[in-house]
Amino acid sequence: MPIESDDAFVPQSDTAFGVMDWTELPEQERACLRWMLRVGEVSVEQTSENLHVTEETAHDVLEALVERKLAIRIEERVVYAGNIGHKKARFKPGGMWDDLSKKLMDD
Amino acid sequence: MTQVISIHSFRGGTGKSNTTANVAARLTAAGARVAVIDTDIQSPGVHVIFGFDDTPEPTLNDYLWGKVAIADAAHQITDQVTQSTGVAPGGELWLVPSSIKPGDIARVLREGYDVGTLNDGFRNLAKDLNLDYLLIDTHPGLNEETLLSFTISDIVLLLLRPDRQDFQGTAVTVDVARRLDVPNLFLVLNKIPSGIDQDDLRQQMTDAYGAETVGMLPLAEEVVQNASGGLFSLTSPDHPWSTQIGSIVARVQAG
Repeated sequence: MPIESDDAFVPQSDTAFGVMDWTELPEQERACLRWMLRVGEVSVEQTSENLHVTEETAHDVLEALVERKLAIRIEERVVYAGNIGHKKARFKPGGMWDDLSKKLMDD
Repeated sequence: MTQVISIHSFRGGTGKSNTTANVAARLTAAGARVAVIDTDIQSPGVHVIFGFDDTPEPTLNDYLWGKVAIADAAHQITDQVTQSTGVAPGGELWLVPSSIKPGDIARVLREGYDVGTLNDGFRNLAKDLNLDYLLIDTHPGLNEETLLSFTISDIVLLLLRPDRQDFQGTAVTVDVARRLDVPNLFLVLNKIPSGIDQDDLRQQMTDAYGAETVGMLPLAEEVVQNASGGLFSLTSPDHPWSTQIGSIVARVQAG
């Protein structure tokens, strides 16, 4: 199965590329990322089984994700390295809310 | 592999926690290993339906702050089911609660947390407890946790009321869910007043959202009076509301 890939698409910033940005990716890469979030580290063989593609295709999908900096290779395993998100702090420094939060945390 | 089910709605007050607790309990009674995780960290509540006045400790908050492993925050609560009905062999239920303490909620609001750590928790919980089902009770609306839960879920149960605000918000949520390739997106209509043509309403939902409606929960005086005071579908199994919970469970079990 040929790999769908858009070589021009590279995230501008690792921290800015969240799961909603996945919608811009080719279908196989999206499917692979979803699965990687579920299982953690993956191998080429496991990717091949999960995506129902040849090991050669699975290797290329994983390499594409590494190229996009959405995954990193650690020896024979590949791990998701993109940004899922960070729940931002809601209280801003200073002001009534900051004092309230400190009081609640101290109590 | 563990079936991950997110229970979500665009707006609050649709009955997510009540639905989550009752679906989880019915799956457990049928013999499944089930965990419920309350990711509504800003306004936790599902623990109340399971009979807890305070959240058991440690909590999801403690896990996110690195104090405990996720399995340590998972509390065995199978007896909450056995109080009302039998549990088929193998059935067990766990709850990972979010803290109801004001200081803990304030800390989350103040410091935030890494959603990636939450995802690691989902994965390890499913593995450590050898779960058949992981039910994620979510915070309403689109937020970081919603996007994560949609991304990793096998099933998303999307709750709404017959209300124009809910209809519009659900359209937005369905669009997001489709973009994130949610494999199974099911609608659950809750708090349906009597006198409404349910077949017509179900068809309208299908036409509007292109998704299967798996539950049509009536607005029931008895459920309101229960007031999150227990697992209604277990204590009143023959009630029409409970029958619909059974329909939801059957659809979930069918995959």
